[in-house]
Amino acid sequence: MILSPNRKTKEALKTVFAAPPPLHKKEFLQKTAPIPAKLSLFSFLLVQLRYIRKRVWILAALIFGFLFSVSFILSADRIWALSAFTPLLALLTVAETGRSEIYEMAELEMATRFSLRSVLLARLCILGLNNLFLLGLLFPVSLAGSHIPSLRAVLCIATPFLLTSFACLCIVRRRRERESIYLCVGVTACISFFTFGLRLSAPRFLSETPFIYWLFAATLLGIGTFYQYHNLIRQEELTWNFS
Amino acid sequence: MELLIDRVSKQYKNRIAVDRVSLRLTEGVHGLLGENGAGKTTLMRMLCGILTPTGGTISFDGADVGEEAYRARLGYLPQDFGYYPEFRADDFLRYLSALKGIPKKQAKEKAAELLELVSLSDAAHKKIKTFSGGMKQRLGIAQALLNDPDLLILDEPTAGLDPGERVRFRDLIEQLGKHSIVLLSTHIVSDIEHIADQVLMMKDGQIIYQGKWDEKRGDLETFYLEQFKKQQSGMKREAQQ
Repeated sequence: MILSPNRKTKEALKTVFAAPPPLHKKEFLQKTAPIPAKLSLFSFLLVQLRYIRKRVWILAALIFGFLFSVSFILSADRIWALSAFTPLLALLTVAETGRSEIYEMAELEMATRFSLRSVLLARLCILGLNNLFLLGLLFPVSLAGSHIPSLRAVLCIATPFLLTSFACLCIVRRRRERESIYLCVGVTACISFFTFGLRLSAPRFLSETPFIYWLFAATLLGIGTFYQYHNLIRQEELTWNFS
Repeated sequence: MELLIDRVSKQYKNRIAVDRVSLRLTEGVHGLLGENGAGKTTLMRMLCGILTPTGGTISFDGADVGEEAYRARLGYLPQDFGYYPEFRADDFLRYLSALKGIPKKQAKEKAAELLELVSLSDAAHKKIKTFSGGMKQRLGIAQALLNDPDLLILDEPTAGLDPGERVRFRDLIEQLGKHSIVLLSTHIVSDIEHIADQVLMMKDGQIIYQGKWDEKRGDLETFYLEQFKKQQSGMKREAQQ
């Protein structure tokens, strides 16, 4: 390759003199690719949406698909079926929201710019909306042709859901370890089977139990669940060690 | 750049873990020495906003520890940390980049750069659950550096590292200390002996020594043990009086 005289001189200078070290490199790089001062709520939710595991969506879709199919097969037991299976949705929500504690990522996440509190709220918001959407689609289908009043049916479905949420949150908050998820699965299975068992042993339980009992149970469990989520999000201090 | 720790205390039931610690730290490497149970981790967790002090204040260039502006400039490596089981090394760094507010494209480049720095490039696509203790620790160091922190808090960072990795780590910290405040806690004196601009010694929640250290003063480990003996004999005298 034939170089022009100017180019030759430049190449020669490069080999003779070393380039000076960069000054203020860090400041320059920060100027060219700055971290945005604010991230909108929507952007943050989108980021968190990406990090909710795919299996959560798949399982939720499977549960929805099963319950939707069952609604067309069963005539009298749709509400029972919904009551027995909504604990699974509650388990998915608690397991996903409580992942930071279960997998010991909480300490790292708490020290970041958008701290753990924001992460938990975002996950809860996304999964809560998802559950509401699925139940909103299932409920009218399950209630069609049923003699059970709507409000009673809502409470019958909500009570095992809230019981599962409350119990699993208690486990996750008290046992901050990976094995706690297995306990949550066990508790959820017990509640689901118990609901099924009630259908077999006392088929009129749903329609004949006084409405006030359902209201009381659902309200109490609702308050308990809210309290547990509130404390999880507030992140009462990490288990403190004496190091 | 200044980290101001003003009469910070942490009391838990009947125990005072951190007792009225006041420090003013500027750029450089600050080594925090102390035996197990001295209060080092508790102090560091308060500096990262993970624990709330019972008393006192912590601020960095005027931003209080509870503010987003403080955490945006913070890098933290805990003594022990977990990971989501499905995460690979690059997933882990990208996830924490998202929480640190780093844009996606920049996060990908930064993750690659840091994995190269800590010699984990070959393991970037491997699941963290297959990592050895030393590899996991190096990954932890990498995540602490994602946002080019001005305040870097490292709690026992050399645990699990082999001698070669420890030397490389010390060189890295020395470089970082030129532009940032690095607070590094350890109970291994050799970790900080040659790189710390300032040595802090902690016992029973209190800072018992704070000062610059150079090799002309002799062996740091001997000095460290002497300080602890002095403190213990001082306490005995007070008790007798």
